[in-house]
Amino acid sequence: MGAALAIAKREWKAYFASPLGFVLLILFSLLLGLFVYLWSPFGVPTLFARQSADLSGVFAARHLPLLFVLFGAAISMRLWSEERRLGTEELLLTLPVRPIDAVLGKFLGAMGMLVLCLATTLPTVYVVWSLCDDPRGLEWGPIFGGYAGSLVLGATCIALGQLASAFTRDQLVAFLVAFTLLALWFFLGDLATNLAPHLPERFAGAANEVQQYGLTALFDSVDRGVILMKNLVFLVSACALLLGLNAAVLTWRKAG
Amino acid sequence: MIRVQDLCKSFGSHRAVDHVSFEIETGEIVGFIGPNGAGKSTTMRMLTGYLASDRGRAEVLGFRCLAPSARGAAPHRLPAGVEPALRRHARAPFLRFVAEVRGIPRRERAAAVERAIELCALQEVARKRIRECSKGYKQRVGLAQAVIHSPKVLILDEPTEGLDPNQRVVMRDLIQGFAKQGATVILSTHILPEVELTCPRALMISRGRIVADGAPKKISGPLGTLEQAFRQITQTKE
Repeated sequence: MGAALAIAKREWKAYFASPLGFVLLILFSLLLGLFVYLWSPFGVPTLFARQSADLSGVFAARHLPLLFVLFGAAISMRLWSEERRLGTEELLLTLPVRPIDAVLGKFLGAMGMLVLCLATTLPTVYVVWSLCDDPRGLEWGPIFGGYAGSLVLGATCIALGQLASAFTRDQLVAFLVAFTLLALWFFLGDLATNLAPHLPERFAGAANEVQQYGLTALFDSVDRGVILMKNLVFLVSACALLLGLNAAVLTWRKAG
Repeated sequence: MIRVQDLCKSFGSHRAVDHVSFEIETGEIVGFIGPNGAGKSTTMRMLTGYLASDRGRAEVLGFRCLAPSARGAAPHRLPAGVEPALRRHARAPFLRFVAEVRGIPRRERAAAVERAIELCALQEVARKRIRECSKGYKQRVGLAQAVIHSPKVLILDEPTEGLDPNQRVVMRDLIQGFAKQGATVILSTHILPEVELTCPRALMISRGRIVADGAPKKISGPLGTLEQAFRQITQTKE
């Protein structure tokens, strides 16, 4: 575990050894700020138009999932591909580190970056808090729930991107593959709804079932500050599966 | 110390390492020589656990390879752009990272890093980024990260590659210094006079097979120099 933490620290610092980390933070906060304060592509009323002191603009069903499609791919694209391009993979994998430790270390480093991105919404929390004239104060439950749900959803997006990154030495390829897969996941709900009428009867039920596991559907309840156990179990096991696959890819490549 | 038995490795239909067997005892310095593509790096990568063998067995210090232990083999080859590097403000963060991953306890880490810096004469560049260092320094950073935990075995893939004659002498002295302290060293190189100077024993590999094993003098034997022997042995095999 010590090795994983050392790798996590190194990965986290690596984001700020190049402009990448700063660019990610600035773009993330600009886009989310746009969605929350000025204009939402999904027609969610802006913070000031809504006249209620809550963070539903931040945690609206589609805002963060949309950003995770872009930023999940962007945060994770370099994790393995850069290592392979520079040839530092040999160094890392010949250190006394199990593949799963290396995978976890990199994942945690990327999660650090995601936490920082989410931290750029803290000023919005302050704005909402200062606007709140309810004598009972802010409702903190939904806020914590919203952050927790966002972290789990973002973690799964990063795990997917990290796996994509393990297959190529080209960061752009890793980004495009992860972005496309995440976008498909984002639109999974719409896709299933649109396909369902055209499918034979017995598949229509399956389409409805699948719809619940779209990126936006999973985030639906977080919007209301509720984390559904079913969604949580799905996301955590998907994340664990992706990380396990990633470790398997490393082991398998040694045999190549 | 290092025991290799019947080791094979293929990439697709190309057999890179073909039933290679050898043993290296404690304290030996062995020069690993052979033409490009003969299987030197592949063999060394199997010893460091970076590649798995198709068949056969490789052991370093009694550890089966592919399960490299903290005290086992240390690879040396340092690729061109290791990041994050030796950075300006902190002293040698890259070496501290390696020390941490190698499980050197926190209290001993700084001392281990300083010792490696001193051993490999890196004081001047300890605050530089690796990519800003000259080739000679880069190779020495590679050596420093490999010796940071005082390994009993050093596996060095072309440690003098790209170095000028002065830097080569420094690197050679460093390697001999480690051997004097009881480390077992296996190093590959294309510079044959270097093998004659540094290594009491040479292993020659060609097309994936060991074709000569013994003292450089013995290998060159009636053929004159090691270079002539190298050309004769490896070319007739083609």
